[in-house]
Amino acid sequence: MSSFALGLGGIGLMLVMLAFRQPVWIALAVIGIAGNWTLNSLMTAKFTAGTTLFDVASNYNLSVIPLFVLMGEIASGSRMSAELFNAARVLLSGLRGGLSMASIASSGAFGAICGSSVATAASMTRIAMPEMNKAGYEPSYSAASVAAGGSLGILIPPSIILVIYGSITETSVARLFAASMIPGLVLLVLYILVAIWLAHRAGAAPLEAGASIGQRLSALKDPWQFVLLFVLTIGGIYAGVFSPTEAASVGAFGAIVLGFLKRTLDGARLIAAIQASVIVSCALFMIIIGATLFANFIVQTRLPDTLLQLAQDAELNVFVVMGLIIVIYIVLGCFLEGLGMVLITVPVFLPVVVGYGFDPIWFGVLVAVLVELGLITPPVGMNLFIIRAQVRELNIRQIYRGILPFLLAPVALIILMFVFPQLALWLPELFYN
Amino acid sequence: MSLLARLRAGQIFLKAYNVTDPDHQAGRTMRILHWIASLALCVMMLVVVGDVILRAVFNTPIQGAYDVVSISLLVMTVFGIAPVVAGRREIMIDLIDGFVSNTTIRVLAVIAALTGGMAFLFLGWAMITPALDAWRWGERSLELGMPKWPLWVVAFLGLVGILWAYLIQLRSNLRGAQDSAPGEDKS
Amino acid sequence: ETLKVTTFLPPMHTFVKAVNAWGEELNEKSGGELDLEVFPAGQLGPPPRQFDLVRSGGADIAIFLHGLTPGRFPMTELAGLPLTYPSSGSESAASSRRLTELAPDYLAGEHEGTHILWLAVTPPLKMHFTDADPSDLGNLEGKRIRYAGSTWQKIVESMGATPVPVPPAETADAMGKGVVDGASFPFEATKAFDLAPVTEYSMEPGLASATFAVVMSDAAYDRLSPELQKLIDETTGPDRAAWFGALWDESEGHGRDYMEEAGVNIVKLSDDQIADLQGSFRDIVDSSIESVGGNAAKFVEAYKK
Ligand code: NA
Ligand code: NA
Repeated sequence: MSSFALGLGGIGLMLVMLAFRQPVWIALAVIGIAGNWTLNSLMTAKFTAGTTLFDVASNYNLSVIPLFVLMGEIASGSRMSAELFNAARVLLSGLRGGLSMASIASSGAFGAICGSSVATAASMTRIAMPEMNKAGYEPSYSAASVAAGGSLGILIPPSIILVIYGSITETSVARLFAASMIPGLVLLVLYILVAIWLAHRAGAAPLEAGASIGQRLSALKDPWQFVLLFVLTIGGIYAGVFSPTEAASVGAFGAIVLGFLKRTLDGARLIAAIQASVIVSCALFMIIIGATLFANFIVQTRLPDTLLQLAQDAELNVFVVMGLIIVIYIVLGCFLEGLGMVLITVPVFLPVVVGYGFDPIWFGVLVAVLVELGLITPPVGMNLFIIRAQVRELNIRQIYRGILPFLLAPVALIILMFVFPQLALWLPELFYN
Repeated sequence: MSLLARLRAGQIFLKAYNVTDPDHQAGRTMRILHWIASLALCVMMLVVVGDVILRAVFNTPIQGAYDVVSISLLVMTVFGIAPVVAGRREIMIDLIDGFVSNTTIRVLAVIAALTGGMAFLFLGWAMITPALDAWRWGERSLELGMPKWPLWVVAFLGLVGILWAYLIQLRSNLRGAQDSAPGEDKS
Repeated sequence: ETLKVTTFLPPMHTFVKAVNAWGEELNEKSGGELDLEVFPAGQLGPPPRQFDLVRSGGADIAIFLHGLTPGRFPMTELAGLPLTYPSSGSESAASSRRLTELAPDYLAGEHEGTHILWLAVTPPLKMHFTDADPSDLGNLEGKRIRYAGSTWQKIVESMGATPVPVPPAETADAMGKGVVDGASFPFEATKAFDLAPVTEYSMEPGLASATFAVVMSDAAYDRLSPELQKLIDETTGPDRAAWFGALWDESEGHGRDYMEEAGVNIVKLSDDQIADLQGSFRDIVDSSIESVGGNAAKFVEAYKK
C-alpha cells in the first residue's frame, strides 16, 4: 500500500474511533503509533511514542496554557469576570447579542496578551460563558462566540504560530506580527457581524432594554481593576518587561492578587481554581500528545506533497493551485492541531507559493488564518475541545452546531486577503521600510 | 489557609475521581497526585513572577527559571493526567449518544478504558530506552545543566498513577456510572 | 533506495541546500539508485531528538547541533571552546575539515550507532551590541547579553556581562526593547533574525563556534550494496566537510555585507585585546577539558594543530 493511501486510511480509522466515543487523545495516539509502525518499524514507533509524552509535557512554550486557564478560573471564581460582563451588558444594552459581541471583543483584547488561541479560548470560556448563560443566551451560540473569538489569539500579535512560521521560513517575526495586526482586527469585526446576524434569529440571545447614558457610564467603574490588569500586561509585553510566555504567569498572579485585594477570593476558592485548572489543562495536554503522534505519522505519508505534485504536474493555473493549497489546509485543519499543521505543510508549500511570486510574510498571515480556522472546524478543533473540557453541561454536538456559521468569517478573510494583499503587507512596509 | 478550606477543596474533587469514600486508598492516591500537580502549577507561576520582578527591579534574573518552568510543567502533566482519567474527564465526541442504547455506550466506555490503559502501558514501555539513554549519556538540562534522568523517574512515577487511574475508570465504567455526573464540577 | 534525512534546520537553510546538492550528486553517480528525501524543520521530531531519531530507525541520516543535547557529546563540544581553532584558520572550511579528520579517533564513541559522514564547525559567533562600543572591552561591563549554550554563558560572564537566555527568533525584539544589550550570532544568521536594525556595533573576531554533525545510522549503511556504500564513503568525509564549510564561510561573508550596508559599525579587536581575552578564557578552556577527562587534552591539541 502506498503511504498516501495509508495516510487516508489512517484518517478514516481515526474518524471511526472518534465516532464510537473513544477519547480524542486515544484515537489520535493509537492511529499515530500504528501508522508510524506500519511505515517504519516497531522500534521507530516506540522511539517517537516514548519521547513525545516527555517532550510535550516539558515544553516551556506550552506553559501558557495552564497559566491562562488559571487566570480565567480566578477571574470567574472571584467574580471579576461577572463585573466585566455586567459592564459590557449595560454598555451594549439595547443591542441584540451584546454579550456575544463583548466576548468576541474581549477575546481580541486577550489575544494581545496571549500568543495561543487555545489558551485565549480557555481563559475566555470561564470569563464569558457563565455570564452569557445567566443572561439567557443559547449555550451553543455563546460557546461558538468564545471558540471563534478565542481563535484570534494567534492572529493578533503575539502569536506562537507566527513565531514558528518565522523560524521555519527564516522570515522576521516582527514583520509577521505587524502583518497580522490588521487581518486580526478585520476578522474580529467579521466574527462580530456573524454574531449580530445569529443574534437576530429567534432565541439565540434575548434583547435587553437600553440603559441611560448615565447608567452606561457608571457601569464602567466596577471592572476597572480587571481592565487595568489587562492594560498593564499588554504594556509589560510591549515595554519588554516580560515576554509573551511570561505574561501568562503575570496575568494569573495579578488576578490572584486582585481577587484577594477585592476580598472576592479566598483560600478555598483559590485552591479550587488551581485544581480545576490542572484537570482542564491535563485533559488538553493528553490531546496535544496524541495530536503530536498523529502529525508525526501524517508528515511521513507525504499527503500534502503528493496532492501538490499532482496539481503541478497538471500545469494548473496559479490561482487554482493556490485554491487547492487552501483546500488542503482546510481539510487537514479538520483533523490536525495547529502546530502539527504548520510543521507538515509550510516546508512543502512555501517554495511553491514563493515561486508564484507571493510574499512569504503575506503567506504567513494566510497560514495563521487557516490554522485558526482549523482550531474551530469539527471534528478535531482544539478550541471546541477546551470549551467542552470546561463546560460539562454542554455536549460536543451543540458546540459543533453553534460553530458552523462562524466558519464563514475566516473564509471571508481569506478571500479578502487575495483581493487586498495590502491588508497584510501595508503595516510591515510602513514600519520597516 | 484554613483547614476548612483544604477540606472543602479535597471533598469537592473526591467525587470527581469517581471515588466516594474519602478514606479509600484509591481516592487518597488520586488526591495526592492532584495536589502534586497543583503545587507544580503554583511553582511555575511563582518562579516566573519572581524572575520578572527581580529582573525589572534589581536587574538580577533567577538563574534557571526556564528549566524550573519546564520541569514544573512536566510534573503537573504527568501527575495531573491521573485525576483526569479517574474522573473520566478525557475529551471525547458524543455524537452517537442519541442513536445507541446505554449498554452500547457502556461497552464503548469499557473499550476506551482498556485502550487508554494499554496506550499508556505502551508509552511506558517505549519510555524505558530514552530514559536509560538520558542516564547513560549524562544528558543535561539547557540552562542549569542539571541531569535529566531524575525527570524520567518522575515521569515513570506519574505513569504508575495514570495506570492506577485507568483501573478506577474501568471499574466505574463496568459499574455503569453516568458520564458528567451533575454537581461534580465546582462551578 | 531512498534515504530519509531529518533535520531541525529550516528548509531554505544553507545546510539543507547543501545536503540537497549532495543528494543530487548521489543520485547522478548511482545512476538513479540512491536518493535523499529531506524532512526539514523538525518535521520528524523536536530538535534535541534528531540524533536518536536516526538511531531508532525513524530516519537514515540526521543533521543536528551537538549543543542542543548538553552532556551527550562532551568531546565534540570542545571544538566550541572560546578562541580555540586549528592553526590553519578559524574559518568554517578549515575547522570543519580538521574536526572531521579527527572524528574516527576521538568522536566515534559519542556518535555510537552511526557513521559520521562529516562534521561542521560554524564560523565563530560574533557579538553584536545595541549601543555598547566594544573597542573598549570595559564598556561591556554589566551589559545583558543574549547567549545559547553553557560555553557562551561562561564567555559572557568572564567579560563582566550578564548572560540572558533568549530564543533566537525573539532576539531582535529583545534588543529593540532593551531587554538585552547584545547577542552572540554568526553574521550568517543576522539577516534571518533581522538584527541589523537593532545593532549599532558588531565585534570581530568571533569568539566561539558551534558544531554540527551529519550522521547515517549503521543500520541504513549496512542495508546499502557495497557499491552504494563506497559512493557514500567517497562523497563524504573531510573533503565534503571543507566544501560545506566554504559554503558557510560564503554566507558568513554575505551576512557581514548585509550588516555593513545597514550601517552597523564592525569593530576589530587589536592583537593585544585578543591576547587579553585569551588569558581570561583560559579558565573556561582548562576546566572544560578537565571535566571531560580521558584524552580530551590530546583531542584539543590535535584540533588546534
Ligand atoms: Na495573540
Ligand atoms: Na479542526
